[in-house]
Amino acid sequence: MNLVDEDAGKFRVAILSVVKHDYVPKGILSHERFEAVVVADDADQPDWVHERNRKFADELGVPYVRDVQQAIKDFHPHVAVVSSAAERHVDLSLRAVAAGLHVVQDKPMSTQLSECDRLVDAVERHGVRFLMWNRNRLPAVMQAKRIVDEGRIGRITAMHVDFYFAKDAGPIKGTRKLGQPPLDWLEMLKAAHVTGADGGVGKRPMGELEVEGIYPLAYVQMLGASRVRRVFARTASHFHQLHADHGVDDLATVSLEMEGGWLATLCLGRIGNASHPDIGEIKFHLVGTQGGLVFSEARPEVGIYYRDQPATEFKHLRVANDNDWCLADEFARAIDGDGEVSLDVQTSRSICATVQAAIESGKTGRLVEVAHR
Amino acid sequence: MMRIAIVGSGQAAANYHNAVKRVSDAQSVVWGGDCGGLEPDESVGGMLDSLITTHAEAFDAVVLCNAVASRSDELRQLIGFGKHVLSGFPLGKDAAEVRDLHEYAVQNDVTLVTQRLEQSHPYFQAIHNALSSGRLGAPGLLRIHDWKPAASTELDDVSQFRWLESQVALTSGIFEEVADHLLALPIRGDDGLCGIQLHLGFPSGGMALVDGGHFLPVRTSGYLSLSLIAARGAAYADDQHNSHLSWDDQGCAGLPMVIDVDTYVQQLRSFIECVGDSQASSAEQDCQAVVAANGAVASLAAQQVAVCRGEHYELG
Repeated sequence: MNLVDEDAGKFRVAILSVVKHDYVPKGILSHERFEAVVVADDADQPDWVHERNRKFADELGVPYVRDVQQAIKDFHPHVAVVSSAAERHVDLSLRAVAAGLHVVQDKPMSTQLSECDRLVDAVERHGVRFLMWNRNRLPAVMQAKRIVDEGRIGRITAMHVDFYFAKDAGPIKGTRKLGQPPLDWLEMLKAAHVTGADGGVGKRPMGELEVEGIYPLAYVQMLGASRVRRVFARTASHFHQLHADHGVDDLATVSLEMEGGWLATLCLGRIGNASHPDIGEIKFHLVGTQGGLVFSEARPEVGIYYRDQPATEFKHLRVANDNDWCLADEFARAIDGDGEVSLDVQTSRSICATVQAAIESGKTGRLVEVAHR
Repeated sequence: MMRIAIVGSGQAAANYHNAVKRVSDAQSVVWGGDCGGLEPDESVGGMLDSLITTHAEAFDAVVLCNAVASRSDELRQLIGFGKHVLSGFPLGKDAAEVRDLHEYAVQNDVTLVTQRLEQSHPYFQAIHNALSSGRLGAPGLLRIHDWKPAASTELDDVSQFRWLESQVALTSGIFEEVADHLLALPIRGDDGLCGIQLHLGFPSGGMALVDGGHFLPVRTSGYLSLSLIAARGAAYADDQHNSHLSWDDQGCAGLPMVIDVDTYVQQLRSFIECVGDSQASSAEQDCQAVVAANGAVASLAAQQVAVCRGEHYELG
């Protein structure tokens, strides 16, 4: 009789700060090969950070340690999951990489391109795996990729992605009265945690391009297998006082000229709860030399409607969605040396460079070359 | 009852002919497309001469739907005979020519209306009505995919200019201002240029992305997707959403709905209303559309951003 070693092949996971999206660590932990062993953060973080970390540790039933280095030393993790405020992403990831840990990181990669470069260098130097959390394994995206890979639409000539989140971000634009101070970015984002609309939490204000741009750009890079050469963008603070107060975008359009000579566009924004019955219109259009595709990212879905249904409840439920497990699975395989991840450190850096170029173009009204390494 | 002569061949003329039957206060009395059997671009001059010589008293208005870059001479001829005109666009090659035509129409007490089929499409009508009512708030982002069946030849200069002019007119109508930034880029297939991507920015912060081209198989209907994101809400219209399912022994396929005739009915109704009210198309808007289209043509050729400098656009 063979005994099954239940611990064999498992990865011990340290969650390094979880002030933002707990769906990232939960996504990794949805896979049977990943097991949480500790939540950790730096002791000098403010109380609200410790409070959130503690709560999540309690939910997982693991210790919370106020010392990242000590936690790594004591709990021997193989993997770090980073979902801190954006400006701390790279610092935490770098420390994990330096300790030999593989890293799963929440978006954005960083608020500065130079930080991305440090992380790329460190990941390559230490020979560890890096996965930027993404939506590339959603069923609609995977189906589109299969069709493209099979050559059924020929060479891609154009790709268009709509990526709207129908979420509010505080008071609507124009509601701040004369003499009132600007809204406090960090406090507003902290308050948005309950609805999950706190992707931009941190000290430095970030627009939607910076917070969410990674998702549609990851689609473009994966489906088209090309990098962006040059961008032109128009951006606006169209909806929310918070974005207007801090001069960051909540609505953007981007034209992308791709290496290889094809074109792409993005439309994205945080467009308000009232603008869509569900999470938002997320759609992609592909034109190829032999055919094309029009896909809705949300599908397959099931409509559920009932009397006294809460207004905040999505009426269309996504089904057959195993994005989390698939991302975790590809990450496990990559650690095993059996394959690549859907969004590695180099591609993540490339996307960050594209976002930075788009932000610059939005400000200058000019075409901007993307600064690839 | 308005008596209408339809001049032009092809599907557009046929659609107008069918649409007139559904407009209660109009009657199609002459269809220029039946005359001669020549190619549309070559035949219209002859058609007009014949129409005016033979049937001048039989009609009150003309629907001019031939596809040419400039129809200035034809329009002058019709206006000179006192006929109201629903004209294909662009009216002229530049703003001066367009302005002259409008002034000539006023002098002759004729109503000159520019055909804007895209703006008569049921999708656009519904969205425009919601926007006009104020329910959606200020427009922020307009996205359009306007795909047609494959063409037998590469997109020529006339087709490019016509498409660009129609799109800048449509987007300017939504944002109620002229784009201050334009970027037009070519979409290239295996056989050369097959489409155009147009990116517009407006002074108040609005933005639009429009792409069009001959991407679909021949003998299929087109594909239209139109979404408007506004300050208080949004509107989405998409042929993919409005499709049925069909199957046969070859397999399953989406079955798009065909709603072309409604577009032409709406355009005709609007024209008849304009004539009744002596309300011509805005000369200023038609001029602006031609100026912006010329800016977009320059942008497309140079693959650079065109920036509005008053009466013209500069690359930079």
